[in-house]
Amino acid sequence: MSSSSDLSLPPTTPFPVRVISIHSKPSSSIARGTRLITYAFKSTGTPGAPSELFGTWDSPVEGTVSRWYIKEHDVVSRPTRVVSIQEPCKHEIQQGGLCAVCGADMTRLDYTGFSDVNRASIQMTHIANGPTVSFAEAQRIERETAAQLRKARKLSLIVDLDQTIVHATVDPTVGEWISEGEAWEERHRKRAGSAGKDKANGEEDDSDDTVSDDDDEVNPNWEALKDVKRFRLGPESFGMPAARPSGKAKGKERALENQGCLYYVKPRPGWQEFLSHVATKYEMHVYTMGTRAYAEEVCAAIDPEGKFFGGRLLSRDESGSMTQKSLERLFPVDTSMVVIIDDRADVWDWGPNLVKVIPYDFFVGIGDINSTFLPKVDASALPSIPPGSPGDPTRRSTPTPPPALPVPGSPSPLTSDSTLVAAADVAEVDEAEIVKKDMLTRNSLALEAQVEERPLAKLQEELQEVSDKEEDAEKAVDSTSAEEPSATPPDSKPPESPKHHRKPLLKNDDVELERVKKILDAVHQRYYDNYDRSKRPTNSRTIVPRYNATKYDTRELIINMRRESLSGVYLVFSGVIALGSKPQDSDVWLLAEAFGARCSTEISRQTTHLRTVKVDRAHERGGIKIVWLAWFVDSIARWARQDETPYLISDLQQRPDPRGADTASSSPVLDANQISSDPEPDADDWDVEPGERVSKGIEGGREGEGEGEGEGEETGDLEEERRSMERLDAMAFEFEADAWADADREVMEAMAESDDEDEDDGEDGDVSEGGAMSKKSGNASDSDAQSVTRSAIGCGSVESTSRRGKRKRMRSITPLETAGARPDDDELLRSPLAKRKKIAADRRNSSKLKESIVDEERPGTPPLPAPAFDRPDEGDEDMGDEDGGDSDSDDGDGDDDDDDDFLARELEEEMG
Amino acid sequence: MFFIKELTHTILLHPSYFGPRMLQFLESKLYSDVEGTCSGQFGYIIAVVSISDIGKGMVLSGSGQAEFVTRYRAIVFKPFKGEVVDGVVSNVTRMGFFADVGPLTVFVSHQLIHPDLKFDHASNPPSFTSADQVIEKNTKVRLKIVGTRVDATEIFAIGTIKEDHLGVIE
Repeated sequence: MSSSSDLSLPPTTPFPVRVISIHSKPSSSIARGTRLITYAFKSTGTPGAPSELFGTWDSPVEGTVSRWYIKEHDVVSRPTRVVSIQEPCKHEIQQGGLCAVCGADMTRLDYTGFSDVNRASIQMTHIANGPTVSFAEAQRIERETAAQLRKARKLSLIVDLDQTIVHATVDPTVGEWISEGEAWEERHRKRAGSAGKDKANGEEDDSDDTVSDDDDEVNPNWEALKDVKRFRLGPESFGMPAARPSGKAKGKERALENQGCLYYVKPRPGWQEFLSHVATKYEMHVYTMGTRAYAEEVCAAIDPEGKFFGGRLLSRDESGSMTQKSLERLFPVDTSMVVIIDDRADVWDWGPNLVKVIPYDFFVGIGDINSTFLPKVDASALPSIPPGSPGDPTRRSTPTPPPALPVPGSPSPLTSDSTLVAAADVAEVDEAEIVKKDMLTRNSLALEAQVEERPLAKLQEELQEVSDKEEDAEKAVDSTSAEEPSATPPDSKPPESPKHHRKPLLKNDDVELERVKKILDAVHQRYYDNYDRSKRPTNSRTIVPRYNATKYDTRELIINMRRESLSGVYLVFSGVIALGSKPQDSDVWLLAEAFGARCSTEISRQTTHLRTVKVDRAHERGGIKIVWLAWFVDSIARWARQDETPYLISDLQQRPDPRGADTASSSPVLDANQISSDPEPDADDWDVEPGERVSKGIEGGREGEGEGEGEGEETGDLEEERRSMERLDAMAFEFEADAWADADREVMEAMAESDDEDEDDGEDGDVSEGGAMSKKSGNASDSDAQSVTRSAIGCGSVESTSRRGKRKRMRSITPLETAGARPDDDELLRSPLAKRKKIAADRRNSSKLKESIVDEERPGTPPLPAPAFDRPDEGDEDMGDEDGGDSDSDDGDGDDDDDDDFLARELEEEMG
Repeated sequence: MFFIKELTHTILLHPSYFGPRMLQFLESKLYSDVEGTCSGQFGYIIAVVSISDIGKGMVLSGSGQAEFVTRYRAIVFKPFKGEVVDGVVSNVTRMGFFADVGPLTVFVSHQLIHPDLKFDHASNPPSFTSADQVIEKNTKVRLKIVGTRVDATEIFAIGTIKEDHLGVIE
């Protein structure tokens, strides 16, 4: 047990010191406090002649002196090792302030100032107050672990729960839907058919629920909800401010049946197969931002026997950080055998071990219930949560019934959505400065808000109303949007259509876990290929221990695999990177390079994809594919170069949204651009007929407009706008005629131009990438010569001169003449969510304009009372008012006016 | 080690409790206050055996509350270095395992486990296994305490099973 350790003079020593005498001879045994040396040093503090002073150094540890590295009269000027002492115990594992080996108390402090506790400071177990170890011990343990893993030919895999393999919500609507479904099953079983006209569930007491009792069909969401697990957590697991580290205590609270809230957890489709497959190749650890109790429950749900995760569960109670996940927390020394799957890359600082997963967003708009305190990078940011986030209890106490939220034709311009935009922004600003406590409170408030406000019910109702209005359009939609399934009205008249929506969703998600599985398999495969290869020579030579651990390293593998995905692609960004910032530092740029693409600021001979600027120039050159940013986003999300065809800007076809789910929400910039994100696609899925989406005029109009304005646009925005336009198109034909007249002209020009060039591109594009590389010396002017697979990811418009936000706003709003609906300054703060919201709001505003029509059109709009506040033009200066108006129209009575005004004021304040 | 120890506890009683059932209330209050707590000096108070003197209530001027200094006898449990105790394994990590010895949690590091018993990564639940022995959750073990640290309200202990007659017991 004894081993020697080198000691150095403490850093407080007044260096340089001259050793005067050494008191302990080698092999003499010393105790703590035994004098080791006496030294002399020059005093510097006092003025006048420097005088020589003397000091001593006593041993901080006990043991036997094995050798001295210094001699008497040496001068020591740095805290280097001076003596080696054989210690009986180095206290390398400590638990609760005790050395776990010798049982000595580590917490005592004496005048030597040497803290034994610091000798073992690394926590590497999954439990909160588990033993701590020294670095050397951590190394030893990891070596042991690695050896065992290699023997089993496994790697370590860190699995995130929320939105990676499950999606959780506390929205009671889910429970109602489930019980509805169960009741239906019951009936179904009883009378071999669904004859019952009765709703059979009295739980439908939700004020939001405008359930018409017309369905003898099951709740359309039932199919997807079948494998949803339920559990109840006590109030603590909301993460009340005084978050206790002990998970056990929380677990007990679960017994309190009447408190806390019910969680609904939907495992990602294909999870069983995924887990059991991956378990053969990986040792899986759970690392979640949820509480311990939550993590345990989820694991119990998806892994009842504990065969996948065992006890390897790390929650935020143990993690030590509320905003970051740390690989070092579990693997302090060697992370070369670790792979992480997570839907959030930012919490891992984009670590090399990370395989980013497209977030699973089953309960639409819920987001990640356990990371409300994380910066909202994800496009899946929660519409439901912002209202609660500002932490305004009054607001929650008057839960806004949903009516105002959805209706596109709603006469009220002050929609809930705009409220949410405001709230979201507020939340974002707040979040920057809150401390952990606040985060927890916020999180719990968010949860409460979710419980009270029932975003799903709202969405469902929204959908219902929309569908009422646009029967024909809506039913045909077969898109894969993620929002569809759970947002489908439970009592939608044609219950088939929701089912249709749902299926694609599930398939999509299946693909995601499949994809992750493939990546994991590939990593595993390559790792052990490399390992076996490097093993052979190793054995023949000597024992060469850890040295070649670098050769097989999951980090390298993952980085390489990422790189391969876009290798040979040369990118130029246009309108993606904000002007005035250094493009090389932008997230998109870095991301592109991380995925193996080469980026440049100007179009060069090698450019294969243009995604930012200078579409015109790209056209001139030819051979460059100009694609939406979505191409890039999708490519990196899937780690594979996507077929550019659907993303080509000049391509008149609507870019298919291959995935309902979110794209890799990688960087703030990207996010801002990204289309994806479920709520949005949804939104248009239900109002637009598929056929309509391909509308050339719109597409062209968009492009033309962009050029006309001379502002670069990133694809995401464009896409969104286009969609919103389409929506408008579907709903507001009057406007369209005028608004598009000019645009159409421009479009035609633009289209003509791009078409020509595209053909060129097509030809050139066939040439191999390798050719491109070799063509470095080729003529710039000759497009054939350049031939390289060039594709320019253009963003539909030229010089990205200015604030795209501004343009965007103009675009979506101008046609409708509800101009200036939003203050400009919040553009910067705007998250993708907010953007979508804004669009939604715009859409609604637009419909507001044709209010009378709308009103007529809305026969079955449920409890929506006459909008008390109809202030179309107030949006720009007063978000708060919107809020007030919103909730007011929701409530439908004047009782809450005061409240609302108060809230509005508060919101205003928060908005600055 | 267990002791029967005479201890005192001060109860402050609100005037609303003054009445016929006051003594009963005092008793139950005493039980709930002290049983299961841990004091650094005496260790864990396992159970109150008897109440020797409920005390004379002294009404405090100002608040009107009555102060009872209660004397009672209780079984206390205090672990000592070198003591051999029986426990139940509660948690197994690769660094060692935790065993519950009544209210006390003892950590046994892998260095104080016989080298034959190795941490088994593949096992579920996690365990230390040798040819003929398994230590996993809920295994009963006999261990020797090699060190304790006493906090004001908590006792930490380190144990070993790397000696004769220690380890898994049936």
